Amino acid sequence: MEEEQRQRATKEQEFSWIRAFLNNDRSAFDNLVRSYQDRVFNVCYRMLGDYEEANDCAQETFVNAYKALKGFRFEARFSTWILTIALNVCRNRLKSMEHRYKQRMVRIDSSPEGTGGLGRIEIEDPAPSALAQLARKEQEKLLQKAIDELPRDARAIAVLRDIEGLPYEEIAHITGYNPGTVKSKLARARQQLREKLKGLI
Amino acid sequence: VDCSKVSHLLSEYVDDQLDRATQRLVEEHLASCENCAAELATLQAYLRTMATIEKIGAPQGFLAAVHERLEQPSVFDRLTKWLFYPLKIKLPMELAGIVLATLLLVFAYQQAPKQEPEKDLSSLSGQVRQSAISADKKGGSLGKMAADNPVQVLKHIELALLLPPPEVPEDAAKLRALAAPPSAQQKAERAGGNVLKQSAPQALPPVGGVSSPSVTGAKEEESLALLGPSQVYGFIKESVNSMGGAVLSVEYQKVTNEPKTIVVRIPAGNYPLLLERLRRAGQIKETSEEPTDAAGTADESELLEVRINFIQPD
Repeated sequence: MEEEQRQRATKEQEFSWIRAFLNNDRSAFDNLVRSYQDRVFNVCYRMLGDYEEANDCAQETFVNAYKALKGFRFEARFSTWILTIALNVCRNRLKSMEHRYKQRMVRIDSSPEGTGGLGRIEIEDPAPSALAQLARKEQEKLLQKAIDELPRDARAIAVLRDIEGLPYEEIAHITGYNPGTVKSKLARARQQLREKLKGLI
Repeated sequence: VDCSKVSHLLSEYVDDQLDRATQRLVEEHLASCENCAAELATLQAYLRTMATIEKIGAPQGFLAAVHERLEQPSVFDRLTKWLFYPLKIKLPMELAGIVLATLLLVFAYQQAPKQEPEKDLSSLSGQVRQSAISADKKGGSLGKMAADNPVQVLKHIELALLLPPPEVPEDAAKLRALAAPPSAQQKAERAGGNVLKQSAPQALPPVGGVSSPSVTGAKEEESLALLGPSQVYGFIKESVNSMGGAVLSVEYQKVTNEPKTIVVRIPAGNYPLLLERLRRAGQIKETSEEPTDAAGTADESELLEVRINFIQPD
């Protein structure tokens, strides 16, 4: 039942939930949360690189949305609106906690051979599935580390486009940049990420 | 189209964001340039990697956590509750506190010593000199008076004293006699304790007896017309001290460096006595208040601040 609700809702469905909420149907807001909690959470996680912080920011995103929903204009999609809030929450969190995050991250540059760190994994006779799982986990860490090292704006654009697959126009709407700036920032972010992930891709 | 331009366009090319003409140019270049084709392959591999990155979903209980946060009172609400609730208890207490604090402030303001005379003098020329009043200075210092009687009322009187013509020669013997220190009896009384009490009219000897023993036999109404401003000041200072008062400040003339204005503070009951002494030094021309009024309303708790302006004939 909940899995069904987690599927992306249509624009009309979202608008009807918002209208119901504005008519004091609090459960309609729950539908919006269920529909977008995973996407918001993933964006927060990719922006922050920390699970607990992502959880806190994702909750804060919906709390802020709850308070601001009466100002919703029914022009953009709810997804655009909620992701704009999420990015703002993440930006503020990054500003206040940037130093802490840097200390928490895995050190991708610690590999002396510059092979991206994967060659350093030493496991004695692991089961093939365990090895694959470990390699994938390590790959995830390296990817996230590379994303974390991007400038904040470029990181948001890369996450929204290359992980969430949003169209350029929606990214422009969410970030507040014009589409041309989004294109050039995305090209630069991709270039930086390719250089950082040379040993991985 | 060169490699750098193509490299720049590859990001939009893979997202199908180029117009057809540009897309064709890029494809033609890629077909003939191995470096750019390799770069395209790297970019596509990157996109595949990013597409397979794990989607981290919200944990179980996420919605409940959001509900919990929504139900938490805001910082403002918590502060309001802490300050005012329960209203029936905290509000009256806070109002009573405000009223009490206001009353205390008003009371403190009313009891604060008034500084106007000193301010007036200090705002004048550099010739203004303040006389320090210390608590241990003779018997009748103001500090002690104020400390003993914290609720004393302060009245201000201003008067002009016309001094005698300067050509009249001084009579040194009279000066010494009139400015002489108080009698031994007075000293003993001052050292004894309550300054106001001893300096109150009933505690003072009759006007004629105030004069020191050295002038015994001199006429009470005898004028000090022979004295100049400095001598008159010395005489007034001595007289004021003997009344349990003190000289607060003296203003001197710029040219002659002679005293011009004296501000003294005395127990109000001794005001007639002060006037009597002043009449012996010169002629009282004008006052801001009728001397009889001040004397009539005076009681022991009152203090008078008298500003005496010396007027010298041309």
